[in-house]
Amino acid sequence: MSLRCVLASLLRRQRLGVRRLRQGLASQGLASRRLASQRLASQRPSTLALAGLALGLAGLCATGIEAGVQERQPDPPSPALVRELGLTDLALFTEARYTRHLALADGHAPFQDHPMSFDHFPSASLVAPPRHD
Amino acid sequence: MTDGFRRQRYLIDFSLAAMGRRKVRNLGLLAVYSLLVFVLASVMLFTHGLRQEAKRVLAESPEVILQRLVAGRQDLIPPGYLERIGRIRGVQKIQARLWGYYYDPVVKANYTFMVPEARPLAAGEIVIGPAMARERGLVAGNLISFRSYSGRLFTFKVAEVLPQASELMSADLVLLGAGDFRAFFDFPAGHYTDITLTVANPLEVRNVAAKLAAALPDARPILREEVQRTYAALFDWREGMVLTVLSGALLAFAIFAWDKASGLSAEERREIGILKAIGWESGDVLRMKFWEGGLISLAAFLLGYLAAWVHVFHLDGALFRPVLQGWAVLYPHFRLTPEVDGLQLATLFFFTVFPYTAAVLVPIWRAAITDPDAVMRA
Amino acid sequence: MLFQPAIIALLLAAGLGVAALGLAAPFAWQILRDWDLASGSEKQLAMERRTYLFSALVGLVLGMQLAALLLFVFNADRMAESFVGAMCAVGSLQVNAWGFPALTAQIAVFFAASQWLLINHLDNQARDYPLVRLKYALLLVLLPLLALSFGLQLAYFEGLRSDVITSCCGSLFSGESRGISGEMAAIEPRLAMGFCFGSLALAIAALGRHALSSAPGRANGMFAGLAALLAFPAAIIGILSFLSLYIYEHPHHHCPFCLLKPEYGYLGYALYLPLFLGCAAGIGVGVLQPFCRHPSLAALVPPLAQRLAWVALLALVSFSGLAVGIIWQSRLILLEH
Repeated sequence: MSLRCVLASLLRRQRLGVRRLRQGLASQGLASRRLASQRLASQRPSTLALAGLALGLAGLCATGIEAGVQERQPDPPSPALVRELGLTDLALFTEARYTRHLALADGHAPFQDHPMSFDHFPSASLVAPPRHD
Repeated sequence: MTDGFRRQRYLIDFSLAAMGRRKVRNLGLLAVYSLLVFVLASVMLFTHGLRQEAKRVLAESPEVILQRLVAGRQDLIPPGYLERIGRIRGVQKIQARLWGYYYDPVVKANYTFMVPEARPLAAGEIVIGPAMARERGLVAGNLISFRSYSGRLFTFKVAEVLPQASELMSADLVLLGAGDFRAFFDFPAGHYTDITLTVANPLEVRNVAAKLAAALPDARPILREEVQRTYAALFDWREGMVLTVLSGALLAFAIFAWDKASGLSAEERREIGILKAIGWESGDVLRMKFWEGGLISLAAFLLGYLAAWVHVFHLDGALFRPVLQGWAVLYPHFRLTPEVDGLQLATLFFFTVFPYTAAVLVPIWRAAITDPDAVMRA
Repeated sequence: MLFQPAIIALLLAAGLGVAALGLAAPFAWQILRDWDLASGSEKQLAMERRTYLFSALVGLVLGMQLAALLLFVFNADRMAESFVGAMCAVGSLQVNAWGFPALTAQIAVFFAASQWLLINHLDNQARDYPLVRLKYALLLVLLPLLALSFGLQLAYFEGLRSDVITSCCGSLFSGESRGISGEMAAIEPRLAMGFCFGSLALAIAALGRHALSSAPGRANGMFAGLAALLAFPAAIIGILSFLSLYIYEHPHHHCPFCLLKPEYGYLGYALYLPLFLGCAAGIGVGVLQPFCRHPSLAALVPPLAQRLAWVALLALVSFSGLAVGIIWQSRLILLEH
């Protein structure tokens, strides 16, 4: 009976000791991590937040600068090719002629195959209906 | 001035600390919000980039294109038609063009065959567009055979592949000599596909078109500005469609924000009650809550917009590619020129920040007017 | 044509503004009738609480309207490319009869809203809600104005058809055309210059005196406000009659909107933004003066008015400086020495 009690208390102590050791280690790790981030934490949160927003705004300005730089680059080949060949349309959808050459298609083009026919190219659902003018 | 500033800074400090106590909820909100801005901004930047590209490139296309219609369909220009146009004042150059479509059963793709007037090609030689070269695995010097509509097999030598940078305009082009073109399509002699007219003075273009329509009743003149407006309208329309679809998402987000703001936890209520008990006014609580919302929405806007910028201009709009690829085999690989548009930025800001602010206004007010004793007794 | 993000945003902003003011109107009426700070009744307490909500709500939608003016002009300028015959914002505003009235209404809303926001700001700083009746009475005046602006915008955007051939700035702002725009453009340049720079100088002097003196009088503030009110039309006349000519270096092009185009380096924004800001702030200096008498506001008004005077002063000086710089740099000679 008493032996059992002693064993149990010993066991409990051992467990406690292990737990304490673990806690100590953890707090040590935390402490070292805390030391590393102490500088950051010592800042006021508003400083950090405003700095973050300023960084975002700087990024926004950077996009403007990037656009400006790109604009000043020499003429890419497409306008020259368009001038040479007299191209009229973007090659976005090549599957049907009225989606390949949108500007040159007449108003009947999407429904031309036979009377009452439906338009059967899915990209036609992405382009606007032809203009009637 | 500095006093007011300091006061606002303390308010920011306080709201940040309060938000830090509910990290998961606020970070989740920030993530959802940024994602929403990202999707909307990507759509807007992408369509705007395409619209600008079309505008820039199409500024070089011919001023007037003349088609002949028969029973509402485009038909070939018969011999003698060019002469009937005669001389029109203001027209610098009239040119009959040869071009057509070819379906390639090997890769199940459509090509645009075209005869370049300004670039003479030797018989049996072709110049091809970059998307087609990629699809068929061709480089300059290779040979390729097409089975013509008359059943004969024609073999061409690839003289050149058009530059990749022009792919948006030239993805599916096959340029070949006039003789090859007529032989390949069995094109009737003396006939042409359509006519282009070069007009020097932009103010004259409408007069020229009116004269053409009067002289040739079966002709349909297409003006360059019409082409440009077709494309402007196309991208506007598509952008409007996508935004309409996404407005459901916006609404859902507004409901989410409303819910988030109105579902004050008991803890938060007690916080506000204590603040008021120690002397904060309703106005102060309102201001603090506004800072909370303002910081979240500004941060989400900036994050989302910048991510969209990188997505559209540096990752080539990878998420939209499948939509554009559509069901065609050939699709262009292109990189859009970055451009910042103030109107677009303002619109986007309005569409994302305004619903959020409006949705959280009433719940915030409810929280701000709570009586301290009512909260603490509960 | 209605299907454009910017148009949807504008209509949404105006529509929400009307809705918010409409919601606030019954409450405003209740305040005008029953407000009594001395009473501790349940009703009075509820009203006091509600003022926070409606002040914030109306402040939000009116703040939106300030931005909406910029968006409206920006959008009109951008839409020009989709109309035949339109080269700048004038062309798209002339597509139907509602374009210019909508712009005028939006400008009126801008100034009215800015003054209301100012009064609201002042009222929020005092502890005893001193201006609450005035604020809500003004709200009832603002509601029809905002509703009118919304209706005009709706009519304008609804009536946009891209197949209408519109006429552009060349025909509207020429000396020969009748109507107020033509009259303003046809004013003799020497006279217009005198009027424009004269009233700007007057406004700058009055605002400067108010901003710099340690104890600016109430009369001085009122005068500064009036001078700023006068400076706005004077500056617009100046832009129409001679400044535009110097910018385009063309003796007959009087358009006030082509300035906004990239060809002219977005000069218009550099001119109009300080002009609108300066005039709104300057008028505010005058609007605030009567509240000096109020005991709880007596200490609050002077510093606020002085700060506003500074803002207005800097903005108007930068506008005038830019205008003089433009005339200096231009190769057009309008006045012989």
